[in-house]
Amino acid sequence: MGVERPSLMFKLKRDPGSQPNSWRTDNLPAWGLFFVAPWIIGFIAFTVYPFFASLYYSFTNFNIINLNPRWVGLDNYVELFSADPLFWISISNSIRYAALLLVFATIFDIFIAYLLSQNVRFLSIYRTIFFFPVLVPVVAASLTWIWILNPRFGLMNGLLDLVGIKGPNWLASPNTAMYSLIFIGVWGSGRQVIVYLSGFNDIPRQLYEAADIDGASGIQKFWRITLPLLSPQIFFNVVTLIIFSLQSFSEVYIMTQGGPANSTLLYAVNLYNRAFRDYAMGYASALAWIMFLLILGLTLIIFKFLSGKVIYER
Amino acid sequence: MNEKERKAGNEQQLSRRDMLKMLGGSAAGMSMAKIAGLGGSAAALLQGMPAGAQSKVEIWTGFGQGRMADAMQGAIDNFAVENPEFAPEHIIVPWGEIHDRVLAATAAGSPPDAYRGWAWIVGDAAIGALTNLQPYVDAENVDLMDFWPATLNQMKYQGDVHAMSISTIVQFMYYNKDRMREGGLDPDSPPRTIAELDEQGAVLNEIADDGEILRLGFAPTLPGKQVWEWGAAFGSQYWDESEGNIALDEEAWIELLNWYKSYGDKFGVENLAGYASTYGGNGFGRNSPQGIYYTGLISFWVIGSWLFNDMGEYGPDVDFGVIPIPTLEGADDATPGTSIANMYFVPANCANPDGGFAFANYMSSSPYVAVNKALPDSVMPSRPSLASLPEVAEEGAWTVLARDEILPNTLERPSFPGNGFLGSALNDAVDHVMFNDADPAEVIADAVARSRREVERLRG
Repeated sequence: MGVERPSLMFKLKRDPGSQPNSWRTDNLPAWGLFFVAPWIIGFIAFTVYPFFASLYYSFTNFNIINLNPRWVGLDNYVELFSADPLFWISISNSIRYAALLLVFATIFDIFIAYLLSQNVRFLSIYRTIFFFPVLVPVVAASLTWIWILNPRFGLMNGLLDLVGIKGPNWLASPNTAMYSLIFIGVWGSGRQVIVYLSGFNDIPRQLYEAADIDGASGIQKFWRITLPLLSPQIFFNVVTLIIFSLQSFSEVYIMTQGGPANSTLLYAVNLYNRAFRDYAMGYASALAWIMFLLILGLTLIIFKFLSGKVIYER
Repeated sequence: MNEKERKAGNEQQLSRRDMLKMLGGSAAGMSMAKIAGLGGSAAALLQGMPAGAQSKVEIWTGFGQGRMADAMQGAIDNFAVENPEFAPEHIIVPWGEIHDRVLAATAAGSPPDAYRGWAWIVGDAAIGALTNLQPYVDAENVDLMDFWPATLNQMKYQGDVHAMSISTIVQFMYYNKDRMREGGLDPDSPPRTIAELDEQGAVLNEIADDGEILRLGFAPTLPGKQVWEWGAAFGSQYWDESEGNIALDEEAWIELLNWYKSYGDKFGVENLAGYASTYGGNGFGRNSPQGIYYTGLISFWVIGSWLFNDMGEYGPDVDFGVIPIPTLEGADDATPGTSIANMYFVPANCANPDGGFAFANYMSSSPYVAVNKALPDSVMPSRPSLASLPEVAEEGAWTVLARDEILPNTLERPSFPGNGFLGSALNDAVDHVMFNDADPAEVIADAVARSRREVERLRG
C-alpha cells in the first residue's frame, strides 16, 4: 500500500492536542537551535569571524597587540609578489610537494588497494597495517621518522647498508629532504587506500568475467574497467590530497623546520613563521589569502577538467 | 494547550527556582575558586593581615621542576618575606610557550604582572607589548651603571628600560682537553684567534676514506651556526642606535660567510650536514651521557655558560676548559661574541605593574638571588657589583673569566624589533652560501635589506 508516512514534525504540528507532551513539540525548532547553539556560536566565533577578519587584516600592518591596525592597502600583497624571495621559494616547494605526493600516493594507494581487494588470508591484518599510519599521532610519527632516517644510526640506511648502498642524509640534505617528506606522506596515506578499496569492492565482478570471455588482457581490463569505475574515488582523493598537501605543516615543522637551505620550506611553514615568529599578522593574513585562492583555483580547475570524466553510474 | 498546561510543562523542564539554585551554586563555586587562586593573599588573610594590605603579583616562568624550580621558589619566597606588601603567585608555563602565551594574554588584556624571558623579547616594546619601566627605574633610583654594558643595552628600547635583567648568559668556546692531548696539542694553549682555531680543529678531525666525519675537531656550524657569535667575533655590529635601524658590517660578513663556506668545502657540505643530523637530536644529546659534548665527538664548540650544569651531570669525567670565543685578531679588546641577558618583563596593561616591577627589580638586584638562583644555573649575575661577591669566584674559574675578560667586552645579543627575522635571514644566508654556492656579498645585502623592511613594518 502506498501510504505516505508523515514526518513527526508535520504530524505534531497538525494535531498537537493528541500528544501528551505537545508543549515540547511547539518549541522544537527553538530547542533545536538551543542545542546546536554552542556549535553555531563556535563556528561564527572561530571560523566565520576569523575568515573575514583575516581578509581585513591582510590589508593592514597588524601585530596581535595593537588593536588598531594600520591600513596599508595592497602593500602586503605587492611585497609578497615583488620583494619576498621566501614567498616564491615556499610556493614552489609546496606545489612540488603536492604534485609529487599526488602522483606517488595515487599510484601507490591504488596498487595497495588493489592488493587488499584480493581474497587472501589475513586480509584484515594487511588492511590494518596499511591504515595504521593514519592512527599514529603526527608528532610521534615524525619523531620516529627522524630516527629511522638518521644518516648513521637509522633503520633506513642500515637496510641500505646491508645491500652495499651508502644511504643519503635524507632530511639533512637539500637534495633528498623534500623526497623524504614525500615518502613519509605516501606512507601516511592509508585513508586514501581505504577509499580506493571501497571503490574496488564496488566494481561489479561480472564486468571482469565478461571481459575475460571477450579475451581482454589484464592491462585492457585495468584501463577499460577498473580505472573508469574507480574514477569517483580517484577524483575525490585527488581533490582532498591536493588540499591537504598544500596545507601540510606539522610533520615538516617537526622534522626539518623548512631546512636545509629552505629546501622544505612549505607555504604553511613560511606562513607560520611570519605570523608567530615575526608577529607580522597582516602580512601572514595576506599569505593565507593567497593560499586560499590558490587552493580554490586549483580545485575549480580540477573540477572543470576532471569532473566530466568521472563515471558515477554503473 | 491552555496556559495552565503550558506552565506545568515549563516546570517540567526547568523551574525558575532550579535555575536560581544553579546560578547560586555556580557563583559560590566561582567565589571559592577565586579565593583559592589568591594563594599568598589568602594565606596572608589567614595570618591576620588586614584585607587589601597585599596585592597579588602574578609571575610566569618555566621553572617547573628540579633544582632550578626549587631555586626559583626560594627566590619568590624570599621576595615575599622582603616585600610583605606583595603576594607573589608563581605560575609555571613551558619555556617553549611562555612568550606566545604572554603575548596572547596581553592581547586579551589579562597578562601576568611579570614573566621571565630573554633579551630578544625587548623587541616586543615596538609592538606595545611591554610596560616602559623607565619611570619606575627613575623613581627607585636604580643604578643602571651597575649592569654589564651589553646587558644594559639589551634592557633598553629606544633609550628606555623595558626589562630588568637577573643574569647574563656568557658564550664560551669549550674545548676538550683529552682530545687535544690525543691529537698532540697542548691543552694549556687553546686557540685564541680564528686562524689558530682552524689549525687546531683540523688536527683533531677524524675522517673516513669516503669523507664521512667520524669525530669532529671544529666546524662553525656545530652545534649550531651561531651567527650572532661569529658575526661579533668577525667584527660586525648589528644595530645603529643613532640611525635606529639594522647596521651590519657587510665586509665582515662577507669574510665570515667565506669562512663558513671554507668549512663546507673542506668537509663536504653534505658530510657536515650528515654529522649534524646524526648527532643533532635533543640538543646534540645535551641531556644524555651519549651527547657529543661528553663523548669526544666534537673538540671545540661555542655554546652558553649554561652547559656547565650539563657537563657536571652528564660528563663529569670529561676534562674540558673554556676560553673566550676566538676572534680574527685575538686582541684583548676584540669582541668575544655576544652575551644574552635573562630578563624579567612587565607586560603592557597588566593588573599590577607596580608589583611586577618590584619583583623584576628584586630579581635583578638581590644578592640572595644572585648567589642562590643565577650562579646555580651557570649564568652570571647581570650586575658587576653582584658578580664581585665572594661566592661568585668560589663557583669556579669560569665565573672569573666571564666577569673579567668576557662580559666587559661582549656585544649584546640583538634585542631590537625584528631581531628574530634578521637571525633567520643570516642563517639562511649561511645555508645559501654553503649549499648553493651563492655570492656572499649578494646574500648578505639581501638579508640586510629584507630585515630593514621588517623593522619598518614592526614600527608600524
